[in-house]
Amino acid sequence: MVSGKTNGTWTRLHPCCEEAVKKRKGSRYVTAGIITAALLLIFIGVLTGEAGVVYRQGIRVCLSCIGLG
Amino acid sequence: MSYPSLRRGVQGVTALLYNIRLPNLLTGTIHQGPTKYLCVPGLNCYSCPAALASCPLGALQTVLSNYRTYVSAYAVGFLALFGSLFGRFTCGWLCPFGLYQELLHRLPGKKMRVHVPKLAHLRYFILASLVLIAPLALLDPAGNGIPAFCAWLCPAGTLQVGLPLLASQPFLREIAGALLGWKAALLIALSALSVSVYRPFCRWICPLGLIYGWFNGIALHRISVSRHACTSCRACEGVCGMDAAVWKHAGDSRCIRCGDCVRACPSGALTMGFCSKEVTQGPR
Repeated sequence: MVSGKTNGTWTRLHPCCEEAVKKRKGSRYVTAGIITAALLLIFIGVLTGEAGVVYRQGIRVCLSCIGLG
Repeated sequence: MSYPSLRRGVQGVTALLYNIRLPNLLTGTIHQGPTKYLCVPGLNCYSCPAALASCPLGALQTVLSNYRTYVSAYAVGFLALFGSLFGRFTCGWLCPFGLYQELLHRLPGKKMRVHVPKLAHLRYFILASLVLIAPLALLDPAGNGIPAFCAWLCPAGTLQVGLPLLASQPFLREIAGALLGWKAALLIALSALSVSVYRPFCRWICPLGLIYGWFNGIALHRISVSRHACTSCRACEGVCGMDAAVWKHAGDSRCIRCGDCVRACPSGALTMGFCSKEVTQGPR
């Protein structure tokens, strides 16, 4: 039996809600996994120099980007 | 504090923080600090002299057009990070261009609800063609890829950079051509439409909102629906400016987490927040 917190108190859940609890806990693992992967991608981007490309583009007014070039 | 005033405050503070170098607007000098390495969550042109950091869509196109790689780990990492943390909470609370449209929508005038779901598919076309393919496939005379979404479509760049620079730098008026005319016309049309229709750019054009919408179901910030309290009265759907049906699917990709539905729910079945502990979503 899975328990869940409802209105601030821990209660045993109806069976139909147990599946929802499991799904929700599962989705939290997915979220944590994606956040970890995202941080890893940013780190890879720093290592490969992509961050530098973004910086160099960001420190000049790109006329074509604003429709003037 | 109620959701609308809290949200308006957060939107205003966010817009200011994104563009904290306000004096640069007068001189036209662009900020060159190390914060430009980082991306902000919302749509905010990094060519704006006052901009503190980079735009995630601009960064994605920049890397694709300069690096000639088929994926940008850096920009995708930022998009995935913001998406998994906030989902489309970014659109509702942290996007200056969203705030601009909402302020226009508060102006007096006839308000319309345009329900054309297929029009939202236009965002997929814009993301694929202008953001992902064009920077790789179209080259300028110097051999660099063209950041097509920024160059041809993005109204945030026109509003934040193009028009202010034209006003402050007379020599730019001489090189302004048909492209700026098109972008200014688009901005004017979107602005006029925003008075009558709620957030038309976000609903039908913005590829950034489309990407964040994919994360709405798993983002840390989420809406929970108590299936036991929900009476399926659809009051939440009725007040939603984005036509989202959170009572059916709490992770609806159209939902920008503005909180109007939470306030409108007569039975208190909706809750919104980070890591909500209410575990009641499931079959009735």
